[in-house]
Amino acid sequence: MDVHSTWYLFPLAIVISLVYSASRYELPSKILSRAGRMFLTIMIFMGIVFVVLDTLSFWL
Amino acid sequence: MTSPKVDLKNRWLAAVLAFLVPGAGHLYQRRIFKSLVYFFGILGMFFSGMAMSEWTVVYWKWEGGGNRTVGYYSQVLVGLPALSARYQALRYTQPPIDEFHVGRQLRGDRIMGSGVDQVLDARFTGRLRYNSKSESIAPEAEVEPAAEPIQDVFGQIRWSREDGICTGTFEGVLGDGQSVSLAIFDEPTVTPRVFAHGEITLTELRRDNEQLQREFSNSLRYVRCSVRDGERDGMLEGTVPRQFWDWYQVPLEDKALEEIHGRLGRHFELAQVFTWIAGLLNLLAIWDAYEGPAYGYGDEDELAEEESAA
Repeated sequence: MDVHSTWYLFPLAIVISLVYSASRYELPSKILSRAGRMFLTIMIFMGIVFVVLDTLSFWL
Repeated sequence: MTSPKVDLKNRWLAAVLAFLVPGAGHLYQRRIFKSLVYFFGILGMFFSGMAMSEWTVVYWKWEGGGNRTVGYYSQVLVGLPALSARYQALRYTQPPIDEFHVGRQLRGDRIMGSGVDQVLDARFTGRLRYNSKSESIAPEAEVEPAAEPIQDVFGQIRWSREDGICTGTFEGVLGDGQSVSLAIFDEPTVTPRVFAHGEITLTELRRDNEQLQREFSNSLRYVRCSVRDGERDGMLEGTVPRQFWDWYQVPLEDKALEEIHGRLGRHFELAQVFTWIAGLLNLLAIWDAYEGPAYGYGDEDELAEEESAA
């Protein structure tokens, strides 16, 4: 089954958020909450980029 | 920032452990949650990338003409899982013992001569075709000999080399169940022992109307040799297994890289990104093992609120 490469963003963003937050704080609850926020930030940012590029390519 | 609440123990030892195995340094420091996050997060990403690329994306090659794996500097930060590529590069570039450098010159594809294994004892799967009698007895005969059929065969192939002469046997069974015992009487042709993603396409013993479909494999080696069964000569062509340690993280030849790129496309590039990022993330983990959490323990806000309330 050929998986579209966009889906690989999810595991990538989850791991980056978790590892980055783990390197900033020590408390597990703090790490998880910061990782969740970072994951959402990445997703929203990538979503905006996707919408912009999709809109620009609409007339191509 | 070193938090007084975190016992880093021997921070140098912890950093080295964190480099060798992501999460190991934190396990040594008894920071279990972070150890699990680093171990499963970083190694999960690294091995996912490896699997996506069919275990070929991590290797070390440093040759002229831009043929250099600069990305390995990022991958190697994962530690032991990538360090073996350096050792494999040493094994791979080691030229075979060969006074005429025949094996060295032909490296990268199929080799003959003393570059071939000195001793081989392996399970063989492939094809056998006997030469027609006129080919065996009078090859210069003008009459076109009737071709003998190509038969599937499997069994045990053995050879050894003494004083530069290669001798060996093949004991096996034909596709129809008939047992066969053959002597190897000429130099075998084989892909090198330490090699990744070599071509195993059968080029000589092809049946009529059979499409030439190029095949590559990590775990199989191409073998071809001339054999003799009493009065009849023939040819064996097929594959023998290659051990895991003889292909894992061995440098890829250009031909193999082209085949993988062509087949996997952008998934190969994604696999590279996964392994690069895994290495870079471990850099954060190493620094965390050495210096502690960068922004503090994580309860500073709550403590400040408690103080202001008091």
